[in-house]
Amino acid sequence: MNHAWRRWQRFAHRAAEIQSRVLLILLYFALVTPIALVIGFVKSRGASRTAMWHPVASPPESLDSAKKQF
Amino acid sequence: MNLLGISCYFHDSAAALVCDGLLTAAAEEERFSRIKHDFGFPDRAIRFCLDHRGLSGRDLDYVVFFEKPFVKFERILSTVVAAVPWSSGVFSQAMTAWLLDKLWIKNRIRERIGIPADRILFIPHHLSHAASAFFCSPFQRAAILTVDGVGEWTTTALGLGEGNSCRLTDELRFPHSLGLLYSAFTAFLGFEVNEGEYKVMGMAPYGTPCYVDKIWQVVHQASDGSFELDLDYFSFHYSTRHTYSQRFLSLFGAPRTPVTPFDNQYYADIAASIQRVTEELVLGLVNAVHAKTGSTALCMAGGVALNSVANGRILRETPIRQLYIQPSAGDGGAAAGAALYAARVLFDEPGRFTMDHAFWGEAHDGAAAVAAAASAGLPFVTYSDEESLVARAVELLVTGRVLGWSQGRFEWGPRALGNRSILADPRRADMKDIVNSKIKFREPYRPFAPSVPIGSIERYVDLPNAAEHLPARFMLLVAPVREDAQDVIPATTHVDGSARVQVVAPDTSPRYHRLITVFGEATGVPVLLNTSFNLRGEPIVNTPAEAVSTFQRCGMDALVLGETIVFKEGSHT
Repeated sequence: MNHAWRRWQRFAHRAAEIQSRVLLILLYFALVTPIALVIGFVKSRGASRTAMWHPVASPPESLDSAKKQF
Repeated sequence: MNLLGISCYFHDSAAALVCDGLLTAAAEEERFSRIKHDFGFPDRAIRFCLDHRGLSGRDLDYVVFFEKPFVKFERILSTVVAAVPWSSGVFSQAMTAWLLDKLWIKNRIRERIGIPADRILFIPHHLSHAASAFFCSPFQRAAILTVDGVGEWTTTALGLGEGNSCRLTDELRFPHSLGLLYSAFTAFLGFEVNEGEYKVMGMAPYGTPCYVDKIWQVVHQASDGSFELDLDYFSFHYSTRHTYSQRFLSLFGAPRTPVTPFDNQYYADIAASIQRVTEELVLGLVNAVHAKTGSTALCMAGGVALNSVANGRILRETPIRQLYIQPSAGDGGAAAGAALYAARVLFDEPGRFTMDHAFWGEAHDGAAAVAAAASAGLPFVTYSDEESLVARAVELLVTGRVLGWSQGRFEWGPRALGNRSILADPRRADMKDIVNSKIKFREPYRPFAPSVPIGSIERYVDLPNAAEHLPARFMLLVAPVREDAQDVIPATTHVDGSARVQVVAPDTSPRYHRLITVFGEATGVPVLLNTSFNLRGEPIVNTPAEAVSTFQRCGMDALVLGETIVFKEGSHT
């Protein structure tokens, strides 16, 4: 019984991997690609590729800001 | 106040415990899991840190994570969007990793450590790096430079530390990254990214930097020290498999395969060229932070700070007079930085210390050493006094034996600094090949470091005021070996006449210092060849059992575990 259960788990894991990959690729082309096209259109006007120094946003010097994950 | 710092889910997971503002324990997860560069949640390293002080998760005031995960996630999504339609692989891989693990880090910490969610803090990645350097340094005021692959968005940052303040003021952002540039060439030269960067640095002296002009086509530096990559040559921002593009290959030719002989001159020249360009970029950044802060003291962190050749040039060629880099300057070290930032900046803890040694890991007692030797069925002798132990070890070294040397707490960071080391006589020119081929099973060109007592260092290397430079204690400075010493220690003098020297101080490494001193009394040369106690592809050993196992699987002659010397079966005890 244990052996069969382990085999089923291996199969289910692999099937789930394939399903998730298919879903993510669908999501990529259905959602990410249109967003990218819109952003690309907006950004193409006046976009800059230079990598000069940027000022650093204020660091979390308060406990509240350090509790945030963003 | 007890603060636990954590870094994980990229590479080199680690945990570090800070109590009342002082670091008390720190370790990378790989030393416990035995998976090199383990990036998983550092359960075992956390357990070690807590056990070291007899604490449980409930005794912690805060757990501090080394980056802001949502900002990093935003960077990955933005990069995917910007690289449509070539980024489907990155999207799929990143979503799987983030949706399964990384987005739930707060829950994971809460569940694994047993701490309430409101006691979990998040410090930006490069600020964690900066704090790991400045708050461990001896300086009251210092310029700060952090350089690595990428954190959230930041790849390089400049700032200033003063008292209990640690601020970053300017940054360069992804994808313009010196770490990723070096990694692209690491991959091109046939080495594993995040693992083979040292190999590129070791390979560079075999070549001449005749391709720097080509490399300056793919990266440009401005007069203010900032730089940008020409993204047409790279694919790390949209590919899961390649870091460089077809255009890169058109410029540099076919990549080296792992089986290409190391002495292929073209690839050695490429290694020399990327190393030279990296040094120039670092010097530009150092000059920029000096100009901005006016400080001649500098704290550096991030993976690029482990480039010991560039570090040596900072002291020789810039206005910087005092340099500090802590031994775990890469991502693992950011665990300590996150906790120290919380202690000093958020809670204004008064405790201040200088990290002048790297021995923050786990220690094992003499009984464990004896048990490991006995269970392996190997002959061993336990010495009751240190003088006899050291005398016997020196006798073995002088007669050309290669020793494993495991003492006290293991080192924090990637270098073995005399507590988990393989040691040999550096006077023998053939010792480099013996240790590389029969002991470490690694590439023949890889150099070894000389360990030298603090009082003898200037006899061997050209490093003025060496005793003052703490990075030299952590093998983080490469310096020229004096011309008259190159034939004296040929096994630790690299092909270009340089050495990645380790200065050994008696107060922080008393037994190791004594060993080298007695070796010097016996031979007239107080220097030992020191390399990490591991085999190719394995993490450095932690326990006596791991040391014995490694000892049995290679050509090492004897193993010193605390006060016990273990021999191979059939050899003289």
